[in-house]
Amino acid sequence: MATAAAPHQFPAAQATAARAKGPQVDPRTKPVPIPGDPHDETVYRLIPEEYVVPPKEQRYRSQFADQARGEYNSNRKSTASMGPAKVQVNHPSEFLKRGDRAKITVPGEPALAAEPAAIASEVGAGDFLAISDFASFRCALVDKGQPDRTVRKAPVPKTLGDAIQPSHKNFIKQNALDNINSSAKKTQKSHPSYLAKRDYGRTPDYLKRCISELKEQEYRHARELLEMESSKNVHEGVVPLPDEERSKILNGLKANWEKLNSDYQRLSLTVDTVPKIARKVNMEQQLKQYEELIEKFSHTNIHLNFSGLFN
Amino acid sequence: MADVSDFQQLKLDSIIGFGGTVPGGLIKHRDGIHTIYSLGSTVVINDSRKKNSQEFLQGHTNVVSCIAISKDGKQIASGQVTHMGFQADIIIWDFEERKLLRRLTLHKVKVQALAFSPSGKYLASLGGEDDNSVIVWDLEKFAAICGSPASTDSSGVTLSLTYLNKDDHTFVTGGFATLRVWELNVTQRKIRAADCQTGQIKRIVKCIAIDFDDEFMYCGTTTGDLLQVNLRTKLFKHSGPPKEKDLFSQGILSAALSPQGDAVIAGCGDGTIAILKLPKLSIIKSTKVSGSVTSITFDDDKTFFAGTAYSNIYKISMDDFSPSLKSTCHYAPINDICFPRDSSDVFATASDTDIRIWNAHTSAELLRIAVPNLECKCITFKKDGKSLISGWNDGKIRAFGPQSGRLQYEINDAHKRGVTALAVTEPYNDRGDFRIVSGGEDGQVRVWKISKQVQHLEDAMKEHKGTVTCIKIRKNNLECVSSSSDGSCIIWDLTRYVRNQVLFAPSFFKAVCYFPDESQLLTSGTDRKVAYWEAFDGSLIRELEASQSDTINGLDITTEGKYFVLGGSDKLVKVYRYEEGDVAFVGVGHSTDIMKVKISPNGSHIVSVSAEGAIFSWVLPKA
Repeated sequence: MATAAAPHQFPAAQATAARAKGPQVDPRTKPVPIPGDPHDETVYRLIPEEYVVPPKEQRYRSQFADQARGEYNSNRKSTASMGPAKVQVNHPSEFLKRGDRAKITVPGEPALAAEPAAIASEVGAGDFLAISDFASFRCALVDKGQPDRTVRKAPVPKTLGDAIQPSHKNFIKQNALDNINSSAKKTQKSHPSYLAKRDYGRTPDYLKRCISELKEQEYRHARELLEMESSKNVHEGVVPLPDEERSKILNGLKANWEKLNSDYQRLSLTVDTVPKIARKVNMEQQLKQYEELIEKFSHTNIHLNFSGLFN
Repeated sequence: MADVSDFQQLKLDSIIGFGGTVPGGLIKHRDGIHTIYSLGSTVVINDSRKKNSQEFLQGHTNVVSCIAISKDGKQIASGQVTHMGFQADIIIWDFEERKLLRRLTLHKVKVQALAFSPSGKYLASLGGEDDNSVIVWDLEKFAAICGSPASTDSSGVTLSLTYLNKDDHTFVTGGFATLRVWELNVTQRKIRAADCQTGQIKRIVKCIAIDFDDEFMYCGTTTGDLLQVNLRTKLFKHSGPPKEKDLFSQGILSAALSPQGDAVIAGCGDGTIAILKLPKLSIIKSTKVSGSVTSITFDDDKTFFAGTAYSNIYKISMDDFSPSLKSTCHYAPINDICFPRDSSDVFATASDTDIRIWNAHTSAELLRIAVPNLECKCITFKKDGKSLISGWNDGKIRAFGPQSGRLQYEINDAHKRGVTALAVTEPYNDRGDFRIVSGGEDGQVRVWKISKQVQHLEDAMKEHKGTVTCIKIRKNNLECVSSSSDGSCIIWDLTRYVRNQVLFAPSFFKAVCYFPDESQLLTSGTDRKVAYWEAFDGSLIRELEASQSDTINGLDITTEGKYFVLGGSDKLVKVYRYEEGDVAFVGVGHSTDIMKVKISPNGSHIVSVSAEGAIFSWVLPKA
């Protein structure tokens, strides 16, 4: 029932679900199969598919239907369509007796041939039977489950024919001899030994050559760039600071810092008056400034820009 | 503000809803086509020939408590409940014209029952417990003829009222140990009551059916038996079913005479519907349906409809007596609604009692998931639609297979107290593992890593002080926004799990959503305003006073951002233009608070759900 979930008491926290049916479900909808694993379900397959009833094929109608209907309605029995048998049948007293069958022969076969007329006469009335009628007649004589004995197979051949002469060859001996006389099978040629190579385990010469060429090229390229840069810098008023000059400045700065720092360390511990505070703050600022400059001049590659000076 | 009728109305596409708790609230019209029932404060006329062709009689200010239709089918009367100390209206409707004829106001607090006289000249009405009066109305002048206390002080409340089938001047009432036959004298403007003698038997009469010759009445009682009382002598004659063990549990709530007049059909509190054969009132057939049977109405001589308190309508044939469910809907407040991504064909609703999945085109229920004694507060579909994820008031998150409703996994103690908001991200690896962002009554926003086998907590973000009401995630899954009833919305970073922005307003935020390009945010709440916010820095751009009176509970925006939809306690669905900030369309129809609104992913429909359990589907006009 559609609402199985509603009024009953269920054990706590056990969800119950009911696939709604009944009220609005169209009878022409196919129920969607539910996958075994709840994780494989999807809401997009929830709506039952509209089932379109495939159009029925046209009913088969035989092309002989009208003819058959006509024949049926003409009040003739279906079995009676052939009419009475067109053969003279035996008189009941002259039924087939033992050995009668042997007397029946196939027409055209010489050995046991008999005139159809004779057979016919033997069968009964002595009237003339057409050949075609005879065939059907013969079929009628032969039992259904029995082989048709009236059909003769080809005769057994008279001579035995040529027998095949046995071979005198000793195959075993021959095989042994062949194996003994044959030369030993050549083993497959071994692979070339790369271990024996002259430069095995070392970098090949061509690679070394390439690497050195590349390095050289790189070096040349870098030098060209540097040259270009310097020439450009000179042109724009940017000049690299020589190293000795830089170290001189750096040493000077360090010395200044040392001096100032030692002064700073010697300041009184109580900083109470305004001038003292000002002095301390001032020294701190200066120290900081020195530190920044030292940091700056610690770099090796320093360029000076003079362009501002000339204009 | 301009009146509602000044705006262009939203066209209602369909309704899924039926107020099943009203006694005798499901009535088949005598033309055999229309069915009349109530839904919250609305009276619905349903045409059985066409699908989704309901008409609404709106006029009541509160929940409808009783409905009656005149014998000739031309007039409908409906009574309502109201607040303590106020007068409750009876409204007489013209069935043919579908319009309100007159309001009759005399009863206080509640109208308990209504009955038309056989000729349709008079209407008898019974007030509720606090009113305790019977009033007879003249329907030609629409004026009260006379009134009288419904029961004596010694007996209890009167619960039911029925007119006789042939006599315009006699009706009966029944209730707590009271069963009275009233004679109306129009010239003297008086009604006189005669108590029926039931001897030792004391019963609470819930419903009364009267046979076609006005000889006997059959009173359904809470004891579960049917009393046969002679109307002429006013003497108790017989009670059935004959064996005491056969008494119906939870009482007989509705009764009707079979069209042949040889049996009484009783609908019971436990959902049993039985035929009690006259004269011995022995049970000859019985069946069981879901929910207590509150109304029985005959379709033709052989079939009848039964409406139950679980809002199911069953069609039952007298021959085989097997119930077939004709319609069903939610009967408790609906808390949430969601569509699967890119599919407007189905949607899921979560109510206090169960989760249901509906076919949006046919309004057919496809699946129902119920966890006994627990309430589902929020639902959402996984992005690929392979799982229906729900938050419950026991603090668990449960995921169900959407085809069979089987449980996939549950996260215990996801939040203290209850889970109130959910959102899911896109899968973050090829195995389809994804994250859930959940909010709870404890004010926490938690992120869960979900894989097929194991679900674990990634992080808990504890900043909200009140219930988290709504969570939305950005399309890139790196940020989410949560609204809370503490008056803040927080935009969270979902990689570092910290707060990015916070929006404050003097409001209990109810809903939040991103503008489609995610540059702006929309919020709504109890301050009756919709606010536009900058998503980047959380600054307020604009505020609209979207409702004059009440909270805005639901908010959604179209995919291109031209319109947004609001639904709130003012019972209106409003479509606003985003740029202009003015009302484009208004949908009138709900009779209780709208809990949520959603626009279907293809933008053709708006679905709104309300506290009485109704689902309304509106057509959103193409721009």
